[in-house]
Amino acid sequence: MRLATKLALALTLSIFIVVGLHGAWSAKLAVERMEHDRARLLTERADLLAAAVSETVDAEGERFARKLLGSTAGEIEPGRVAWLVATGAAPQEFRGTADDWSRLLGGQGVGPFIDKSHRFVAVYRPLTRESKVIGVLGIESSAAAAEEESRSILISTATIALLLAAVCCLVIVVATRILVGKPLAEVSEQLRRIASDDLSGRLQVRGVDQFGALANEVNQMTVGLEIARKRIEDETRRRVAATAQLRHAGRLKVVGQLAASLAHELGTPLNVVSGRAHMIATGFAKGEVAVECAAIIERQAQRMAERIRGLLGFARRDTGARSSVDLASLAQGTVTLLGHMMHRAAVLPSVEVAEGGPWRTHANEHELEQVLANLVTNAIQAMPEGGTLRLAVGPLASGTLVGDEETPGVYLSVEDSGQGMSEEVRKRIFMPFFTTKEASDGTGLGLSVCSDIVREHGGRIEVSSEEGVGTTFRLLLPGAHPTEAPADGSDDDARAA
Amino acid sequence: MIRPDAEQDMATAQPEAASHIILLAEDDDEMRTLLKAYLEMAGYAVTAVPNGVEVIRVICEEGTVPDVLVTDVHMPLMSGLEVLRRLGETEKAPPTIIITSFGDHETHKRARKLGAASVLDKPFDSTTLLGAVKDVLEQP
Repeated sequence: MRLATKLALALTLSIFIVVGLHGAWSAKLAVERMEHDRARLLTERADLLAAAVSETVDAEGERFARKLLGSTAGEIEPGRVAWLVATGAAPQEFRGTADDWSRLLGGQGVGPFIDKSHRFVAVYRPLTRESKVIGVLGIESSAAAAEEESRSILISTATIALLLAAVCCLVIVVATRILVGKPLAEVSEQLRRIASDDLSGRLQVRGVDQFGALANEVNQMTVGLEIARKRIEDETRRRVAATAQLRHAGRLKVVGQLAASLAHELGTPLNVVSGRAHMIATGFAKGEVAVECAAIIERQAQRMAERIRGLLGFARRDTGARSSVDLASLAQGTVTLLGHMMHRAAVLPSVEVAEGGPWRTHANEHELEQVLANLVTNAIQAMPEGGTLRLAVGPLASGTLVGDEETPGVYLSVEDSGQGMSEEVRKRIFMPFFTTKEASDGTGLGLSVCSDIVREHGGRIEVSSEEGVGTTFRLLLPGAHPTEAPADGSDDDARAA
Repeated sequence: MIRPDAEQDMATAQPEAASHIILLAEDDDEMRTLLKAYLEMAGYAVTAVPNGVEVIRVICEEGTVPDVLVTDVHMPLMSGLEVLRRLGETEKAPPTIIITSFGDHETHKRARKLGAASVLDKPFDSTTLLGAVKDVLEQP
C-alpha cells in the first residue's frame, strides 16, 4: 500500500472516530435534555389537570369530572391519562413504589418517574373531593418521540461524519500524492539509478521542506559517489598498469638471464660452425668429409636457431588468453628453455609425470610459464655447487581440491637439492620486496608476482623447505574440465621447444 | 675467428708435436670432435673425454699425466674448474688450458686463481688453440 493511501486512511479513520464520538455524545445529551423537558411539561400538566379535576369534582360531582377527563384525555399531549382508584394496594400499571402510592393516598403528588429501559415518563397526582383523596390521576408519556429524535440525530451525525471523512480522505490522498508521493518516487527512482551505477542524473530540488533537503542530500551523495568512483577507476587502472608492468619486468629479468646464458651457449655451436666452415673453405675437407662438415654446420645452426626461438617465445608479449595447458609439456618446455643455465650450474634436471595424464589446467600459458621459469631459476640459484632439480606433475589427492569442487586439482612441483631456507624466510618469501639475494640479483617481487598469478588462476603455491636438504614449491591448480579442448598446437610447441 | 693462414696449421703436422700428449675434456660431441681434429692435425697425441670425472680417472687412476690438459668449464658431473682445483691438490697437475664462454670474466678470474696456464674464450679458431698449446709447452 502506498504511503499516501496509508496516511489518508489513518487520517480518515481518526476524523471518522472523532466526529462519530462527538455525534453520539451530542445525541445522548439532546435526548436527555428532551426527556427532562418532557418530564417538566408532564408534571406541570398533571398539576393543572389534577387541580381542575379536583375542582370539577367539588363543583359538579365525580361522575361529571370522570366524563370530562375522558373527553379531554386525548387532547393532553403527549401521553395516556388514567384515573386510578385510590384503594389500599397500588394498581399494576402504577410505575412507582408502594411508598410512593402511600404518599399519593396521603395527598402528595409523586413523579416524574423516568424509566430509561422502557422509555417512558410517568407523573401521579392525588384527586380530592373536599380535601379527601378519592382517586389518583396518572399521566404517562411514551419516549418514542425521544427515541425518534435520538435516531435522527445519530443518522445526521453519521452522515456528516461520513461526508467529512470522504472529503478529508480525498483531499489527503491528493495532497499526499502531490506533496509526499511524487518527491518520494523521484528520490527512490534516483536511488535505483545510483544502485544500477548510473550516477549522471540529478534530482530537481523544489522548495525548502524536508523533501527539498532530502533531494539536496541525495544530489550531494551522487556527486560524492561519482568522484569516488572516478578515483577508484583511476586507481584500479593505475594498479592494473603497474601489475602488468611489474609482471613484464619480472619476465624481462628472466629474459635477461636467458639472454646472458644464450651468449655463453652459442659459443660452442659457433665454434663448431666456424671450424667446419674453415675446413671446407680451405679445401681440407673434401668429398664425403665436406658433406659431413656441411651437415654438422646445419645441425649446429638449427640448434642455435632453436635456442634463440625459445628465448624470443618466452619474451613475447602476453595475449592474456586462457586455454587448456598440459603441465607436463610446460615442465618439459621450461627445462629445455633453461637447460643451458642448469648445465652451466651443474644442475641435473628431471621431469616426472604421474600415470593417467595428461594433467591439464585452464590457464594463461604465458603467465604459468613465467611462474615456472621463476621457480626454476630460483632453484638453480639455490644450488651454487650444482645438484638435482626434480619437476613433477600429477593429480592432487581427492581431499585437496582446489578451485572448482567438481574438478579435481593438479599439481606441478619444483624440488631442488639446494641450501633450503629457514622457517622465518619461508614465511616471508611471498611478500613483495622480500629477498635473500644481493640487490643486483633480485627485486624481491618474483615470488610475490608468482603467487598473485597462481591465485588469479584459482590455485595456490605451497612451499616446504629444510635447511641443507632442499626446497619444494608446489603449484596447486584446478584441473581443466576433461571435455575442454587444448589450445591449438600449444602443447606441440612446448614439446618442440 | 679462423684466419685464412690457419690452413697451414691444420694441414701440416709439426714433427716435434708428436711427442706431446694432450688430454681434451669437452662434453659437446661436435666440439670435442672438432678440437680433437685441430690438435691431431697439428701432430699431437690426443685423448678425448666427455667430462671432468674422466679427467681425474685418467690422470689419477690410470696415472697418465698429459703434457697439456685442455678442458671446457661447463660439463656435467664435474666442471673444468673443479678438475683444476682437485688436480692442484695433487703432484700430478699438468699445465691446463681452460675453455670458457665469451665474456665470462668470473670464470677467467677463478681459472687464473686456480693456476690455469691459459684461458680461451669461445668461439676461437684452430690457430688460437694451437698457439695457446704451443705457448704452454714452451713455458719453462
